[in-house]
Amino acid sequence: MKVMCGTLLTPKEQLKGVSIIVEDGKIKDIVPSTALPDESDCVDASSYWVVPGFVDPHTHIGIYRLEGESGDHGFEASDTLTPQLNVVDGLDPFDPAFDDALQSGVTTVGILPGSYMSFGSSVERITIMPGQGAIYKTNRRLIRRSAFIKCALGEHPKRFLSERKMVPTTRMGIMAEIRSILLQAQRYMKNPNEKINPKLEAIIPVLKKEIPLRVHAHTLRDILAAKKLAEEFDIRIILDHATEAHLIKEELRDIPIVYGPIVFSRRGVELKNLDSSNLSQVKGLDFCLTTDHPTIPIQYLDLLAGLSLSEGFSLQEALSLITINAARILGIGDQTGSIEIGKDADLVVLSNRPFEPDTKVICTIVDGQVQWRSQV
Amino acid sequence: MIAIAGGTVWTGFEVIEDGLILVKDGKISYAGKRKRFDSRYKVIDAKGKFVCPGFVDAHSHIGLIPEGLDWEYSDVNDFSGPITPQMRAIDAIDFFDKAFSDAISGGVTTVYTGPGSANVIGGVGLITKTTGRVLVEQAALKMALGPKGIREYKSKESYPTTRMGTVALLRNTFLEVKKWMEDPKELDESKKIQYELISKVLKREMMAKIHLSTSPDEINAVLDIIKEFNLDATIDHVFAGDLLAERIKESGVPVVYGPAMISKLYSAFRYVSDAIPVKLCHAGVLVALMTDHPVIPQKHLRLLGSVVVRNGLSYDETLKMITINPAKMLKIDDKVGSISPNKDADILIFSDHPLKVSSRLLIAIVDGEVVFQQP
Repeated sequence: MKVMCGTLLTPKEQLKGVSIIVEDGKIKDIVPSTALPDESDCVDASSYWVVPGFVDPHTHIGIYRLEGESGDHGFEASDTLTPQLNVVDGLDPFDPAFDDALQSGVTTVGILPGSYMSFGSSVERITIMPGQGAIYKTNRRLIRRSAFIKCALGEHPKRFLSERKMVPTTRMGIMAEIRSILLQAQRYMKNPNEKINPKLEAIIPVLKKEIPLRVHAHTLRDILAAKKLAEEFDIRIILDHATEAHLIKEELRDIPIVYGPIVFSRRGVELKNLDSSNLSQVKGLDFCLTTDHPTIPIQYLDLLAGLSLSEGFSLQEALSLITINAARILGIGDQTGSIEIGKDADLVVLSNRPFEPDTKVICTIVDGQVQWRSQV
Repeated sequence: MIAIAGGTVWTGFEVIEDGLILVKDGKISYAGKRKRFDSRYKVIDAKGKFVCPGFVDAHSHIGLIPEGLDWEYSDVNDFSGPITPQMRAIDAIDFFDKAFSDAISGGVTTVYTGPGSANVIGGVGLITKTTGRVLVEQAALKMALGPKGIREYKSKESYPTTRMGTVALLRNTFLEVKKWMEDPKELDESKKIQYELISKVLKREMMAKIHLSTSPDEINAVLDIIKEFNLDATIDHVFAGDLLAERIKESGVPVVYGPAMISKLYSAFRYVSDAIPVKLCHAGVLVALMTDHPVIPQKHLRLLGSVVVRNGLSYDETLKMITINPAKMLKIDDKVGSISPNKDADILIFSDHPLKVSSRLLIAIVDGEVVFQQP
């Protein structure tokens, strides 16, 4: 396949008059365009913009299905620590949100256990360590099964457990539980003769730094607790939400952050400092943006990123927040997130500049295949 | 006295290039082409900028659900019973809530705020400037459709548990009040307060704001009730409005869509589509947008406008949905919602068209005072 680009944003560079050569689902080459489409398998985007497929590292697509039955599918409420569970085992591939994603240029999503931020309650329904998350292309291709383990700090697990008459019920208790399971897993890892323990087995890749621990933390103190935990156990963490990150920017230079959703109600004390205009203050940190779909529907990921334009981000910086930064933080930056030779051909053809509300997605290409094309 | 000189002035009715707006005593005294003016005016240079009226949010709960606190601090839903017209937003509103200054930083200068949707008749909402100046203390009686469920609270009357039950209770209440209006019998004081408020709506002295229209049957039912009792009403949310666009158009009833940008997660929201305001507008219905603050923070009203543009409406038609259209349906278009002589000087200066996400609010003026300036 050949994609003739009008304007190409890689997003590191802005190029004009080039074509992307796609072979076996990968970007094989980027060459100067010839005058006319010379192949049958050619996407003529010569009057359009071409950008990398968007990446949202923090969604609950397929776990909380749109128009689906109500109920909790994101965590096992019978236990506070369930690192052995994996979202793949409860995921509905027919969730229409996959199509919403394709139609709006989102090609890769991280899918997490736990819950989403629901407007209707002060408490996000989540246990301390609900399980493993996965990474999917929105063509439903699973690209990482056990991509990370999620855990949650602060008011949400604390209150949810307390509502359910479960323990622990304090921040101290939550940290103690997490430390305890990590310590057990450290010992387990060194003793090959021990009986198989699925929970501890699941944690080994975190201890070996093969996968990150993704830590749901909103407040300053929970962010700092997560940082301490990472230092104590020498593990990789990703901060999710990080609502108060702007208050301790200097402390967070080396920690990747999945930030947001930046448009949400300041519901409850934990979110009292939530504000999309904090973007200008977290600029410079290693971060990307998220919808936390279904909190904000996945199709509006780019509009959220567009808000950064009014907070002093350039077009390329804004685009990076939902492409290369997101892919890199997910650990798949060598595979997708930018338009470079050797990467997956995940491309979006836009009618005009990205982020303009009247810009339309003309077509979405995932793994070198056109997955969605506008009727217009 | 302020003169806003130059720029593209979008008045709500027309676009004036290189315009001039003169503000005197909190009101607009002139809006039109650039002309000579008195040197006593303080000049704000709007050259290269986009000037438009302050935004109006037709449906929110600002000041009634506080920012940064939990639900136990919320004052929108009182479970005293399914019919509570006596609940008044003015008795609970906190004008010092952070959301007000935030709303101003997003260009929202006038809002409707009122009780929530837990009851069939929830109470009386008000219209205020986000600076705290109340425009209409008793603006609309809020009603809400949908099943109300079985509440844990012990109220004197039980709550309807089906859509049919809610509509039947609403209709019975109106019929009873109508009978009382024709033959005013002695009522105990608490009942009398209720009946008097409902009778205002039946006499069209107060507007009805009918919420939670989330499915075609609910919109049909609400249109029937509006017709049967000849109400001066708006239908709010209209999550299946596109399916009944023709009927809504024929009824002449204005609608408030939204909030946009919410997901179809709950089965009750299966008809949600942010293309609804586009289709209703094309059908000729008067449409406004809502944030339903705090569902979407009020300052993001214009972002919801961008969402509607994304779904296919023009920038300028969409801008009307957060300015002149809500002003018309809230019956305050003689004061706000457009830039024309004798209206309140609620004026925004943006770096670009406000529905472009990259646009920045530079200056906000309410009642002739600069209340926000980009630092």
